[in-house]
Amino acid sequence: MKKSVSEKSGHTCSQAPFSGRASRASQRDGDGRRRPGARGLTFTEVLISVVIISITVTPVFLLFSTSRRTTMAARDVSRATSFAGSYITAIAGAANVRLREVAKTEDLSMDGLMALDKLGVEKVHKGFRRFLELKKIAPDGESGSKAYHARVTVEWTAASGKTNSYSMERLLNAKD
Amino acid sequence: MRKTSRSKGFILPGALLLIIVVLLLAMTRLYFSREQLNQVNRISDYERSYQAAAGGIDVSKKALDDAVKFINDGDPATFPKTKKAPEHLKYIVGGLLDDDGGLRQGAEFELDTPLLEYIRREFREVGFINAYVTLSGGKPIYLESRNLEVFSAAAGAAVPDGACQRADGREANYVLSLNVKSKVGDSKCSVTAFIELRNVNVTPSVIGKFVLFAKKKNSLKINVLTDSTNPANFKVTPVLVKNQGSASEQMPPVKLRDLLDAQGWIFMGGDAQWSFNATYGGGGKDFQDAPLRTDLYHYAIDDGTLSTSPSLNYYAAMKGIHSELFDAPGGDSLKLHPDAGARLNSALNLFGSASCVTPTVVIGRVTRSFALLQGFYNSSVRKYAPLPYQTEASFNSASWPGNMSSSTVDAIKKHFSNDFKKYALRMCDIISEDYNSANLLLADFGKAGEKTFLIDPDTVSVVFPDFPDLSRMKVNSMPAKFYKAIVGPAYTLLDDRGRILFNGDDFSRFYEPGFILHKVGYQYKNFQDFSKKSVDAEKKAMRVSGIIKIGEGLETDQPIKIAPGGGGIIIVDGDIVFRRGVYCPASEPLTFVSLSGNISVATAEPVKAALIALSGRVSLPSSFNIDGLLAAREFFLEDGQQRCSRALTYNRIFDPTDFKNYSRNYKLMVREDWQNYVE
Repeated sequence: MKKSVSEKSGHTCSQAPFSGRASRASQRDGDGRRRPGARGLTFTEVLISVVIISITVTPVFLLFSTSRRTTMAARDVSRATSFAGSYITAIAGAANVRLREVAKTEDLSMDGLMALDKLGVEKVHKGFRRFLELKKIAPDGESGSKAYHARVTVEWTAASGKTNSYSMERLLNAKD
Repeated sequence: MRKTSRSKGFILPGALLLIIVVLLLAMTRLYFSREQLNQVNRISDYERSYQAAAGGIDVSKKALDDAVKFINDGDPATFPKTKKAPEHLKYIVGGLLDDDGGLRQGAEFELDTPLLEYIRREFREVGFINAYVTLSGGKPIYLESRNLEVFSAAAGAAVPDGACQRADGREANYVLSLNVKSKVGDSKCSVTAFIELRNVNVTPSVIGKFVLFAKKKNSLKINVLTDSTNPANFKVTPVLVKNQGSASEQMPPVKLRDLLDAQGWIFMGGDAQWSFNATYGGGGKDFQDAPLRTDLYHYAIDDGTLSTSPSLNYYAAMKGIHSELFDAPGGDSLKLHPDAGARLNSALNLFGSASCVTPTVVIGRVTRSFALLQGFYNSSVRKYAPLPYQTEASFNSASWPGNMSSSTVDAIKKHFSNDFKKYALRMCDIISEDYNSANLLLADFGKAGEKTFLIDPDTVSVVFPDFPDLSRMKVNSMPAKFYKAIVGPAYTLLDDRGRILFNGDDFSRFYEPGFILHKVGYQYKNFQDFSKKSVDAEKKAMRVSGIIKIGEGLETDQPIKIAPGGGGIIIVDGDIVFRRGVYCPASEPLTFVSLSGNISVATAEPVKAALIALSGRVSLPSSFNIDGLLAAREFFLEDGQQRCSRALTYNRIFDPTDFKNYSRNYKLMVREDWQNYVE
């Protein structure tokens, strides 16, 4: 049989368990002392309250967590876009750079006029890696225009441990 | 105080409300963070789309630049442009040019290069990419000029300074736009690049017709050579003016006229006379003045007492003047000639040389003097007896030059009835005639021409009523005669289609740079600045491809090499000194203009350009080779060393009267770098 905490005083409680603060307050006199015959919360009441609170608060936490991950993902994609865009734009705009074929190579390994400091491009943030790939193409044969197919790939590991990547491509006029 | 029943159970709704609020906050945050992610994804797609479009712009610009270079190429083999364009440029050239080779105003077409196709095929995320070209503008330059008075436009009204040149409506400013649209995901990007083009013709508009243009009288010392039959004594080489087409033999008058119409002409300014003494060239055909009938012409003696002798004839021949005619032992033909000035010969051969005769039209009061050797020829003993030049006093004396016996002198006097006037017709002499009369020696008059040694220019139109006149020059509104002096005051220059190019007064007052200046596209501080921007990395050569102005003098210590399509006009505000050669394809007109300074050629290397200094002097070294034209207020010629090369050769690419040629000399001048903007 369920008993209220006031059983110690010998009273049983037959009322509904959800009497609320007002009910409990009414069980006290003006000096805050429990009045004789006032009832407390039953264990069941507390348990149910905890369950209900758990059911309602958990999704809230999940929502906050998901949105945080989404925000971080957006931040990472934004950074990756910026890292890729600045690098490929710098290469395209460097008039004195003689392009050459490059297999997928990390930006820090590039040397000569394609080195980051020569191009005026900042390094990527910690956790990111940036790669350049240049492929010479002459789709119109030897008589036509020659160009390079540039692909910049930025890779990073998300907080979840998953590895992500973002690629950007552009055609560059051959300067040779 | 007793609580009311309504205040009971407030904690539960409150808690629920709090939870709902927190839940809403969390959902809102999630919504915004997802939106942020979507936005970032759209931005990253847009960035991809932009990079694809920007790359498309770059490669398309390259294709358009290549098309402009091809359009600018003056090589005749590249005309008509729309048909001769390389396959990968053909549709671009066809889109920009009409059938006449003019720019197609308002042209609009889609550009579809293999590189754009590559983007469509190989770029994984790109949904589409398209490029469009638009050519707008086209307002003629002369309408934009603030100095319309230098352009006489269609009306052709005469204006001061003799600068009444016709404006060319095809010379105009354009804007070439290139728009590339691309799409990645849902993100579209449109990048537009545009560039200003100025279409100008780089033919010197009037000067281009002249291989040699001397504004000022006595601006050139002409007769400075001491000539001789002994090559060793012929120490100063004359300048050979080669006017392009050669005439190795006589030709029908119409054909000769057509040749002369197409030649580079010569203008010798001023009202006073220019006198050229024909060069004998040390006996070498490569330096001898021409044309001269140096072969002996025999004709019957139909007057005087010696006419009865069947083996006796008159003979006549034309020779360049040399010192032995005057003072060598036995050379008494012109011993008594009083004109000391005739003993020096011309440092310029205006018609090339005897080995390569290039006739032309000389405008101005210009004469040519040559030695006319005449006398008797006895065919039975094959001996010649020249009749020496004499004054009337010496004719009447008993002692004649040439150690003739008194009986011989008497016999000759008797033959001419003791009449000096009759003798003077048959004696050796120095003959001066209008320089253009030399052209008659190249005309084939048929049987009629065989009957006379020299054709009198004044009787040509009487004896040969159909004899043609120049078709590209009028003097005082009448067609100019190419065998007579051509002297103003009013000149009309026409092209081969009859279009008037110039209609004005004396060419001596003519100042072409005033006209050209209004067509300038670029201005540079100095030549080095221009060189940096104009050197074609592929060809290691320079491109002018239009009309530019340099703000200070120009002195070259390196050869100037011009790439195909790189011809143009370089206007220099100062002196120009060439210490090394100028190398330009024959199909490219390259002109250097000194606005108010002098031009000095200080190299024997070829200078393949037109040099114009109408306010100054052109100085030429002892040895030079100019392939183009020369125009100056005055000239200074260093003495040529023996048998050195001194040649001024006309390049017909400068000829404004040849419509086909003129049409090839339009250049699309790229006025600024491409400007990009992103929509």
